[in-house]
Amino acid sequence: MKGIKQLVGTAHTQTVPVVLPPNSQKLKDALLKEIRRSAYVYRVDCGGCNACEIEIFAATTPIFDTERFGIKIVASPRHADILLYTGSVTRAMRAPALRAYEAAPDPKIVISYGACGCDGGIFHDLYCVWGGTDKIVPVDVYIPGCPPTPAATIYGFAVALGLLDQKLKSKQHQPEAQKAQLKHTNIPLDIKV
Amino acid sequence: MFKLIKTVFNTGSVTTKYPFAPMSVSEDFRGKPELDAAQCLSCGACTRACPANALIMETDEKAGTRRWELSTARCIFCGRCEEVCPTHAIKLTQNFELAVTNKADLYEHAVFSLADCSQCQRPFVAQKLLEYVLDTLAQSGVPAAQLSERRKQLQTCPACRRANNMLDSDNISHLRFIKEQQ
Repeated sequence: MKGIKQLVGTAHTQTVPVVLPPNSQKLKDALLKEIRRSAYVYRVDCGGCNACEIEIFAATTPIFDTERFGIKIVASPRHADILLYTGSVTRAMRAPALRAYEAAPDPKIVISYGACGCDGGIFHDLYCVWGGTDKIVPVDVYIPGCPPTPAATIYGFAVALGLLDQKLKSKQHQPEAQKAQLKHTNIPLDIKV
Repeated sequence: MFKLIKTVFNTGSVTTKYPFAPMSVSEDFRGKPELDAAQCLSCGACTRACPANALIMETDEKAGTRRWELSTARCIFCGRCEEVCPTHAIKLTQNFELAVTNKADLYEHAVFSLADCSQCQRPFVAQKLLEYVLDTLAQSGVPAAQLSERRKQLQTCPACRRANNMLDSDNISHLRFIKEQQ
């Protein structure tokens, strides 16, 4: 099966992500810029705590209502344009997750949802966990949060469909440019306890 | 039937305007942690408190640096880093629009230079933290003469300090007391 390398010994929790076919980016651009139809979402729960699922359904129901943008949850990966991976990819869910990836027609957009999906979250160092969707499949968009709020979910979908730009940028702080300021510097010494 | 239609019209639309209008979140909403790099001392309290190890610190003894890293990918937005920060350098903001296409954009770094021990010349504490401790001592009213003595002590690494205390030196106060009695 694609994406699984036979490994023995201590390296048994290593996987090689599925390699994208060379024309996949072109297909994806065609999907987003030329076809521009409703995006159907298939959820893959790879060992999450179900909080992410609750927030996804909060995003699709009337208060946040992603269906006004044509974003709809479907029951089969064969209908899906977007694959939404939640959970930190447990040993048992790796193969079903890969099967869902294979079953979805190309071009597909893969979204990593929640802290667990992005980097393993609080379960990142467990023995039975691969720690992140990007360890098994190539990911297009990461939506961090534990769980992401429905508004963050809508924003993530908009980034995935190329409607909004990403706002977060990597930062390199310069901590030694300034000295750390002390607190309560004006208190006279004799009244200090 | 008419009653229902009347209720529907009175209620109107409940759907939020979110992607078209800004979303208002509650005052205590826990969004992305933001570091005020000027106040950060690299004390490591946040890295110990972080349940998901989203905040980590690494010491590179050869380069004499200590690297602080925040992974927004792994962060569970619990706010413990904000609770434990002694200088209020890290605070949770109300920013929830964190989706990225490139994973590297989820990481933040800060590099601190380390101070060398005055005896063994090996790095042992961040220069900024050492200066903050000395400033705190000065503010708490330690006299200047004592402060210079404390500075010498603090610029020595714990191992060297322990070794100094093991030897028969003038450091040991009880020895001085015995000499006075004789």
